[in-house]
Amino acid sequence: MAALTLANIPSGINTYERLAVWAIQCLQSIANGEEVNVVSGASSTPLAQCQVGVTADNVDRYILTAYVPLDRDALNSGTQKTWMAAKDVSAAAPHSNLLSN
Amino acid sequence: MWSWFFRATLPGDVPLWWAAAAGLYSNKGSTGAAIQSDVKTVIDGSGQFPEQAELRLKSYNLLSEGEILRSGQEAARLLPGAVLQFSALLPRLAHSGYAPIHSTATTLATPFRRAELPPATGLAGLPTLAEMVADFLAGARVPVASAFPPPWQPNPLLAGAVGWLGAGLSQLWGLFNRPPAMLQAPDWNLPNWTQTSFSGPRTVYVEAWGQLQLCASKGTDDLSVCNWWTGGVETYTRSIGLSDVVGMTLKTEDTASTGVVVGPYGFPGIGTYIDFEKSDGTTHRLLITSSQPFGLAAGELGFVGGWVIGYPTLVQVDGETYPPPLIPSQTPFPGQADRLADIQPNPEPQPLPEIPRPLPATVPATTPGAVPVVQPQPDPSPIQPPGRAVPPVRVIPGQPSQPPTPPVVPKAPPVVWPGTAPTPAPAEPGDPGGVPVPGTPPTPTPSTPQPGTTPNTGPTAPQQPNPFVPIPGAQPMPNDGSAPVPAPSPTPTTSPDTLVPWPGAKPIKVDQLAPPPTIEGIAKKTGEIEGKLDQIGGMLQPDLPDFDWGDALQGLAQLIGWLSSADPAGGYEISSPCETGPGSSDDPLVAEWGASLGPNASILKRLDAIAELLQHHKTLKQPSCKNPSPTGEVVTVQFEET
Repeated sequence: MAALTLANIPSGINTYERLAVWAIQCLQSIANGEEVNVVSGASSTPLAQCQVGVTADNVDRYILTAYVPLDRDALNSGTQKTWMAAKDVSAAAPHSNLLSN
Repeated sequence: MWSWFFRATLPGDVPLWWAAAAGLYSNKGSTGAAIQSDVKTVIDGSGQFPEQAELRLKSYNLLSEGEILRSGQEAARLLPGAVLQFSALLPRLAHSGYAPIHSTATTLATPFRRAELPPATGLAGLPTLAEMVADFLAGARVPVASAFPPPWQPNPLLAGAVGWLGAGLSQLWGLFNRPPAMLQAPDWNLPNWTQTSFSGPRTVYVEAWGQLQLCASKGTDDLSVCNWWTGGVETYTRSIGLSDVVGMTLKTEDTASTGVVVGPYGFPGIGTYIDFEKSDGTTHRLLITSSQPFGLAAGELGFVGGWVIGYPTLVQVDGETYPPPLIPSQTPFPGQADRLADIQPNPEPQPLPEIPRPLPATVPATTPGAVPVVQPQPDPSPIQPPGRAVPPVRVIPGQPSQPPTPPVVPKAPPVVWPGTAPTPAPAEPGDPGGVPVPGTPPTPTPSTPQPGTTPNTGPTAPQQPNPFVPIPGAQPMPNDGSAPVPAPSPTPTTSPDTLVPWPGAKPIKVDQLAPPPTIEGIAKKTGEIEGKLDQIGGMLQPDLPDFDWGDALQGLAQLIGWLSSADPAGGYEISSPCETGPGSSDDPLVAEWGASLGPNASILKRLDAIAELLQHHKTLKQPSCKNPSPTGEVVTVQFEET
């Protein structure tokens, strides 16, 4: 279980965008190279990864990709939020560099 | 319906019908009499007289292992000389509710050899129906109570007729029920087949009947992808081929108590399944479920190759040609992913939803402006994957709740055994005889995530063997969140609707890159090209360099020198003193040359003139030396002849 302590979120993260990037980086760290077979017949891809690139509009962007396991029963729950259906990826903690400003 | 097998190596003088009778009779002492005893001949490759017979007994009653074993012992007594190999995984009865199949293998390596021949009767009180049938079949000439063989000698005529009949039936059996040439993996002969692994990737052929479903997943608890569902209990037979199987695990979940759902359509209380671990790390799960209450059959799984568990038919295939794969490759990608529930904004002012666990103070807890409110759904229905129809619900009396009945999946094509109608199937690399399964090529096994709670603080580089690159030039970031090294300089990317004629030029915006195949389209494209050429021509106008007076003077000097080197026309004159006419000093001969520019031309022309002069020199008379003039007085001399 990849438990998250809210206090470990760096205090410098003050926007949702930074929070999303930070979360994907943490997910990439705890996934530790685990791959997911996304397309049948194609090679597997990392479960989560954060990349930087330039899109066609000539803007530097973060590219966040994650394939988080989903609990469909929890997704259909009438009391829980949809993000509560995300299942664990790993039990490892993220890199220590990600836990500080 | 429970069944178990005896594989008997019969001596040549034991007819098949006697083996059948023996098998039926063998069950007379059990709590549930066998209702059927089939003899399935095992025909060798040459099609000769079968040397082995497979006794298959069925009973509606559940039998304990001891009863089954005793049945085998009886069969051994009735078939002296036959080497019986008993193999069965016996389903055990759950005490209530459904019947989770507890599979335990009981294999006797040397189970039933020739035994003493006690009287066949007397084991029980009154003869059962099976006993009477057996007596009818066997007791006409050979008393059941007597020790036998030695030798059993029926009526020769009857024996001959029965022999011919048996041979014919055996041939018909082999003709219509010939199984594929099965190879039983040596490592499959495990006493307790609950988990096994192969020495390498194998292709496993599975024939199963019952209410089954095959699910492909990664891991054992994510079964969102199921390829097929039989939808029936006893009438459906599914044949599938699984390639690159490296291990199998038979599992039983008492789902009623553990709550573990072994499949998306698994009914509570039924939890027997086989996980086929493939070399690419994925797991295909053969799920045996049943909506029937206890007392009726669940799924039947049995090894055709001689090994029986509760009931699927698993055949180890190596180097044989088998029917084409029947597993449709169904994965959620690519395609439309499941869509989450729509969130429709509500224009009515609504109180902000309460967040049970607010974020830290640094994160704003509320969002300014209108907040979309999730519309409550009075009857929330499960989100169904696209293309998966909602199946009707089958209500079973006595059951409080039932999950939705699985959808009807298009029935797989019928199985075509080799030899009857061979279907070409592309062979997989490295597995020439296996059953290729489309959509499931071997992929490298993903690395296992590091368990435990140790922080991932090591300097080890992140494992990214195959990063997904959404756009060209995208750089994955390390696991520690630091910047990618080296940081690439951003490269401007050409917009798809523009053309850059050359690096550094202004992009030319075009409506479409490819002109339509019409005259207007071609003319338009031609105009674009002409426009580009005009721009290119404008860009290629050479800039005049600054005027250099030194170079100009130098050129002028060269011009003057060139002009000053002009040689005017001229000629050589030659005369001879011996000539009085042309060639004399008054009219000398002349060798002329024309005017020329440059020293080389003048020299060449003068050489030509010299050649002509030499000719003139040859033409003129050559002068000779003049005699000295006589001196004195002129005298006249006369000579007289005397």
